[in-house]
Amino acid sequence: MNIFQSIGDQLIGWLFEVDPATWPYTYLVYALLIALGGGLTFGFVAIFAGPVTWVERRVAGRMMSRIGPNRVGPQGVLQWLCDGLKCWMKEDLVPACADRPLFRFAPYLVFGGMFGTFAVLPFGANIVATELNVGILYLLAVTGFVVIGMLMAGWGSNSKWAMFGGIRSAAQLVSYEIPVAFALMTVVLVAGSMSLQELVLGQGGMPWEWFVFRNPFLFAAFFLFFTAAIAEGNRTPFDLPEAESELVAGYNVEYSGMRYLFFMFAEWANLWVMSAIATVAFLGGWQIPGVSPEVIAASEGWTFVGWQALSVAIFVAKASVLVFFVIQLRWTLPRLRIDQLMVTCWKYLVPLSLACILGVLVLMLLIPEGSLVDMLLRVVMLAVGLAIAITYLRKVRATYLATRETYRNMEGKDQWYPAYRLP
Amino acid sequence: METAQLEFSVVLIYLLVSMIVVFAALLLGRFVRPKVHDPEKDTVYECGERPIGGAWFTFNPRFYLLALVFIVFDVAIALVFPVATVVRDWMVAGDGAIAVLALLSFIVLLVFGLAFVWGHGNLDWVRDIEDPKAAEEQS
Amino acid sequence: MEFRDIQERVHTGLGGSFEVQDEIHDPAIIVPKEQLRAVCGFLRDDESLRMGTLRIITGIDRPAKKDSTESGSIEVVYHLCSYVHGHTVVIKTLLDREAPKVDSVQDIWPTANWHERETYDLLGVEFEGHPDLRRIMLPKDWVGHPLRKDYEPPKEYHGIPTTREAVLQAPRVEKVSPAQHEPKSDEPPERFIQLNMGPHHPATHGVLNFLLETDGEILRRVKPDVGYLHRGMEKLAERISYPGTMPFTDRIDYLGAMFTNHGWAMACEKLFGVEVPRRADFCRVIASELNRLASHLIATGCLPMEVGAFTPFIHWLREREIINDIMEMICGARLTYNYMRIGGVSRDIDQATIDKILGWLDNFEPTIDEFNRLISGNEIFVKRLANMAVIPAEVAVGYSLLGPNLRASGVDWDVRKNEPYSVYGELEFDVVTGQGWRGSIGDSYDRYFCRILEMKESVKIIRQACDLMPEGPIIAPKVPKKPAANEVYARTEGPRGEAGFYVVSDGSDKPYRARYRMGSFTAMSVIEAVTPGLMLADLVALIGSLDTIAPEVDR
Repeated sequence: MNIFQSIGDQLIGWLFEVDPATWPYTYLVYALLIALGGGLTFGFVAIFAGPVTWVERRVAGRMMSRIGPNRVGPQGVLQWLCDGLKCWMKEDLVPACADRPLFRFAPYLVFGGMFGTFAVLPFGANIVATELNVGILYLLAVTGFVVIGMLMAGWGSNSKWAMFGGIRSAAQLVSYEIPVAFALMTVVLVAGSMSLQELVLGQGGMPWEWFVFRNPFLFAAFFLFFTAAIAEGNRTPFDLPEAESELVAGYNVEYSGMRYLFFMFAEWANLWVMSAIATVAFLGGWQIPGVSPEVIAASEGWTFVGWQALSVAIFVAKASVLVFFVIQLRWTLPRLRIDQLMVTCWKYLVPLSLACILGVLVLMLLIPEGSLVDMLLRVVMLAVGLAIAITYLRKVRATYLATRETYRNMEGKDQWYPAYRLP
Repeated sequence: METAQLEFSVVLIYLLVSMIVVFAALLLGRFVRPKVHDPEKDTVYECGERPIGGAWFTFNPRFYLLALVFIVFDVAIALVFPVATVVRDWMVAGDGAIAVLALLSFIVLLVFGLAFVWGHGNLDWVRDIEDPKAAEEQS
Repeated sequence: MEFRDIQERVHTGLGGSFEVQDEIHDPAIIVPKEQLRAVCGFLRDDESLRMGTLRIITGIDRPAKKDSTESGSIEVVYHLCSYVHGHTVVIKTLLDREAPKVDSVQDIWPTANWHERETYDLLGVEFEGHPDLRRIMLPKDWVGHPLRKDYEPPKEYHGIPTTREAVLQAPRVEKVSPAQHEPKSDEPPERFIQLNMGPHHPATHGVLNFLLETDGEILRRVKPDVGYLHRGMEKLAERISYPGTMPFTDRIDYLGAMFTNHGWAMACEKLFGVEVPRRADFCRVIASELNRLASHLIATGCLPMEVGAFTPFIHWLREREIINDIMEMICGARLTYNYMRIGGVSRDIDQATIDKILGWLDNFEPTIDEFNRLISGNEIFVKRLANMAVIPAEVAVGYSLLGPNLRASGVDWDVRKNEPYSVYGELEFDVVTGQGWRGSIGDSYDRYFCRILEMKESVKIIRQACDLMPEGPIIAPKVPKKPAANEVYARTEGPRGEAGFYVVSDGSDKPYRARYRMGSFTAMSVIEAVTPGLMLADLVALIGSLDTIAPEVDR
């Protein structure tokens, strides 16, 4: 049963002491609760999107041997608030020859397209706004709003630079929806349902129960999905539509003030959305290691609330790790040119994702679930995943040790310029 | 009201909430924003020079081709997803082969389509960078 | 070959004899204008001469003297050079001042295109046969030719007053209504979109404008439109004395200010006949190579930034901060140094500073490798740059590209090695030529990587110079105020190529004509030839790999 429905029934029973099933105003209460949930979700989005800009700028600063914002508030944590307020108070310029309805409506679509995805994301064991049984399909559909919104922004601005950005972004987003859809299809095959909550319930808390380690094709599908999702979110290395150094902010070029802020807001929140979907589909979602969903459903009172909170925390932690990774990618890699982008999508990602679907199908046919071969495959894939992670960490450690030598050489010497180590 | 109606009404209310939030933020900002009209500000940005010609130019046909290919794939995806959803249940029930065959037929069609478009050169964004003549002929 | 031999060869080859002007520092052959094209063609094609490069075309205005019966003339001077044989020659033509016309040599050396446009713009010389003779530095509707000796600047230009008094009393300029600025949307759509990648754009290195004709994403034609930063440096030099022009030369190329200083100092020293003490030469070399490092740091940092990776640029700026601090210790300024004087340098580099430089160099060399690990080998970066805008060696020589751009195309020419000046003859270093490391020779990646390797060579040079520096004075004891009448073309190898200073003196204490020839000027002109067929993103990467700087182009 829907969470709003259950809370609403309890509320009606408690406040008005009538039977919810027969009361004529039940659905009004439901609607208000859902609106409240929407507002809370918006609050979460805002509270996430704002500080994640702070995290990004500090991480970028450390990667670039500098500090990043540290003036506004302790360690600069209020920087995003000041930026948001400043943008909100700026003049809203609409070019005289622009197509005014299109120009003004574009932020709504872009923001709505991003926000609509939150309606199906399962944050916790029972904390999901709606368990749509066509969740994945709905996700793909609602992210299509973003495409239309960007095209409207580019066209409506009546500026050539904006047009370039709009067209490029439309081509990019539209192309990369295909690998995203195929990669998610692999997970749908294995889980047997399109509902995101079912996807999470089909996995377990332990890493070998996650879909990503189930078989090699799902492992590949995770990376395909992640790459295509970064392209969907317009992040470097795929940030051509807003390539600052080439197109001077692309389709955003004529926007100012709050309208511009909503575009940026949508981009930052998209970071979260793609990481969240990746977590839900491949990394086990909110599943708590060692605690099965039946235990959670059977608990009462404060234990129940505790499990919910823990599952939300696990989900947020997993998605945050992916967000951090995307941030690191942005500040390391250069961007791809538009034709390289298209080639990557149509000639590499699409065939590979089709191959993944076929592979998953074949493996599903041959290997029954829970059998020995299945377990073996999972252990092998887990080992592969651990090997990749350990190699990465060892390389990081090697670089750190190599540069530590340089730092040690510089310390204690009479240096007239500051050492590279940051506070 | 069935469950489906309730679920989708959640979606509708979420979308409405987002629209209302954007609208409210812009509306509240109206009282805070300055509005200093200046004819220079109404012009579009073209790096400091006056723009030559309108911005609503004709698109290059390759975008059209790309959109067509995308539509085909997207329709295929929309049709394949329901099949993919029930494959697992059918396998458990023992009819796995039929489900796989159904899916395979879709995917093989898609693969053929992709191969055809690829071989025809419609997926090349640019024919040949080194040869502007060929690119000229293409466009 | 010496000038005598070249003169002999020209006489035998063309069967005639031309006057020479050999009392000047760089002797010149004076060719009547009817035979100019024949002589130029011969110079380029003859096997023993092979003058494949036209360094500058410039004009000198010699108005009629007040009490003389001769009419005035304009000298058009051509400096030619051969990369194959390593010799140079100067050709001059004398034109009638009232109606100066001469044949264009644009088909013999493609680089003459822009040089002739500039000579037309600033002096009024008309080049017949030039495909596109229009103003380059000044706006289309400017009246007059500023480098003429009798030039009167206009009182106002489009309502903007130009004299000081008028500015102080100027009325407020009224705003134009939007109708004048709006793009016309009722015109039929053209086949190609015309786009302004204009002066106010983050990717152009400075205030440069490109008029693009694109077909969606692919460029069909790119017309660089320069002159936004034209400050009349050459005319300024005619009013300010020789030592006074030194700070102005900083502003010609602010990222390589030491080299322009050095070039001007060398030109003046040749004119004045002043000998530079050895310690001053070593100080100059150390300061110049540090400046080369700083400039290459910007160049190799900006290219990844334009391609999308911001982190390497900031890492390089971190190193550049320390170079700026060193420069501040040496000469007091961080960017526009004004360090050199005619006859030496202004301040000494003492041992403490040298220790600091050497200590920093020890820490800098590993960071070049770290940088290469970060970005130079990155797959996406290589894919963006390799095999893009390949400039073959003939095009590079014909368009007179200089510096790392030329060397990346495979031509082994470095002024420090081929025409050694200062103490470069005593220092050991290699000249880096393009090897096609990730693509073909002469592509954008080569130009980028040449600069990275040149940084390593500069580190070597600084170390050697710090080792070998002798004691002694840092400036020549006496520099006369007025040089003899002479003409000289002094060149130094700057980070953007050869910084050439052609100075004509007439015996007074101010230059009669000063012409600065910088590498970015021709680098901009080659963009037009190389870009058709590229994409918009490639144009940005190309500009970054050519490392052009707007003030150098416009002066």
